[in-house]
Amino acid sequence: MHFITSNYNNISTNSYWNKLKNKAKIDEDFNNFFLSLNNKALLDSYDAFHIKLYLNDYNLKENIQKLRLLKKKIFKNQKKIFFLYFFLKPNSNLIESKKFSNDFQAEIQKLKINKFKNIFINYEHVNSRDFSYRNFFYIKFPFDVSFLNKIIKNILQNIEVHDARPYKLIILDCDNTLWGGVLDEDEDSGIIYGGDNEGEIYYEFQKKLKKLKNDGFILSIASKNNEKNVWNVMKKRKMVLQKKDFIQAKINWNEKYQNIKKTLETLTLRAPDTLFIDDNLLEIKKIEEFLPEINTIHISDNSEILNILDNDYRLQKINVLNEDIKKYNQYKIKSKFEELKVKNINNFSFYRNLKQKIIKINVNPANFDRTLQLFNKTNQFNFTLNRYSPKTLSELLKKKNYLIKIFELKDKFGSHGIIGAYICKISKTSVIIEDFVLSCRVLSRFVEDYILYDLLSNFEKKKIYINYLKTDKNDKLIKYFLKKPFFINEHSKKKYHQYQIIKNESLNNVSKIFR
Amino acid sequence: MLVKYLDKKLKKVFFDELKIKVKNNNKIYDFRAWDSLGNFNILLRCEREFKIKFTSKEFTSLNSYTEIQKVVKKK
Repeated sequence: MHFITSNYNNISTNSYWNKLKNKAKIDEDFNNFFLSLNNKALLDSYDAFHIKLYLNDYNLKENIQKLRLLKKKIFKNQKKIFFLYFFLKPNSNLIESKKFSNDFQAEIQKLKINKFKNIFINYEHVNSRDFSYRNFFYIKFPFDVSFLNKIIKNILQNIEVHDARPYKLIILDCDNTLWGGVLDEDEDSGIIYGGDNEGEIYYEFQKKLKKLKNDGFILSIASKNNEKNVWNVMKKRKMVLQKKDFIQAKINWNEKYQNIKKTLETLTLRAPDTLFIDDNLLEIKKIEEFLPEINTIHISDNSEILNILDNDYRLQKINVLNEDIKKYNQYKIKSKFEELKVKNINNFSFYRNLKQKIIKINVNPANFDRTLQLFNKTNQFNFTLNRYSPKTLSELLKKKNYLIKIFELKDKFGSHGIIGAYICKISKTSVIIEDFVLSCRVLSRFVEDYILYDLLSNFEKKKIYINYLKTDKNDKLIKYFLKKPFFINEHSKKKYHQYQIIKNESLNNVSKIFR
Repeated sequence: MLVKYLDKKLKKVFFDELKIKVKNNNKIYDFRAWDSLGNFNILLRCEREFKIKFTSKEFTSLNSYTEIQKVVKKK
């Protein structure tokens, strides 16, 4: 839910607002944006805030002053997104107008709000046609009513961007998508890429894709071509995208849906989080038939493609965590790992050769967001599916009888980032693992076993228990994991099934895999 | 003919804007939604719907159905 407030009368009962009624709460108490946002209960109960400020010569100083005081609140609530809309109404006198815009810019620079990752700013110049003295004096609404429509459209767009779930994976075709022409028919030099006109479109398209990659989207290829030729032409024509930018590129003559299914399996991603782009309508239809939940873009007119990408809200990430940016490399590592694993299934020395290392880390302000994300987003390998608010988690961290650790995994390919966490309650005789989550990316490489081994080693004199709450989401993986021989003595405790964990040979063996 | 059309359209304005069914003798505060802000919304909608502009005086003084109807008709 969103909250919309302003420093003027929102005329919240106007029918223009109907489009927004079920998505946002409109502040009826006008000119109190400062008071409402200072209210902690209100801040907690909404996801995003839209603050509209009408600024002119007279109220600039006062409003900036209020914003300055609000800044602390915004800084404390990094999780919440704040959209600022500045409606600037300079005086029509040129000299005064210049002074106003200078003052405004200076104040904004002093505020340093550009540095906040959770603030997004929209500027709008209010010209005399959009402004109404009559409305300003009688209803404290400074604009012509038609301008309200424009404001609402703007807010609606931001709401949609905010609420959209970004894609994770973008799968591309090659011919007539990444470049013009058909590679296996035309020569390398016959391929349309770069230069003017049509070639420029493909150049810009690749540039856009590269930018998306840098934002944390994963790029992959599913194309019917000769693989060697594809990488060659990219190199020869010095394209923006090169072989290293793609993960799990499947360039062969198999059916594309089979290739895509394989890619999704290897990366443990889902079709709804995937976007497929192709110029061939038949291919798109085929893929939609076999993977009905996948998102597709059909390029019928190549000059439109940039426009389509710009307007797809799921290609925008407004809440980018550093972890998201690192993800690209992590998926690349996973992809390499899977390729190796196929060759060496269930071979202990294979795992040992991976040189895996697990690093235990305490939760601190720098990794707090990631910890929260792990507990709240992990579905499959999550023993209880307890979700935590920032408040409850930080309260748990303060308790002395609770042990909360997070884990980073490294192997010979690189770091996988923070991949797991647990919450333990420690008493005199026992340790109860109340929560245990692990990212799906690193499953089936004995990481989960090793974390338990490590915990057992640290509390050798105490009995270790783990809580399990069966749900549809975690049923598959956890049930399988609980069959391992170091889980014994299952019994029910309140809403949980509780298992005791004991040290045995299989757990001891696991310890040998890790460094 | 024109009067009837105008009447119908004006009542629709009230319904669209405030979700109320007004009769000719109704005035401001007869309905919960028709408060002062509601009244402004009606007038703003009329400006949009009939492509007219109320003067400041009209904007603050018009507050019954017949008055609004009269001014809209005049314009």
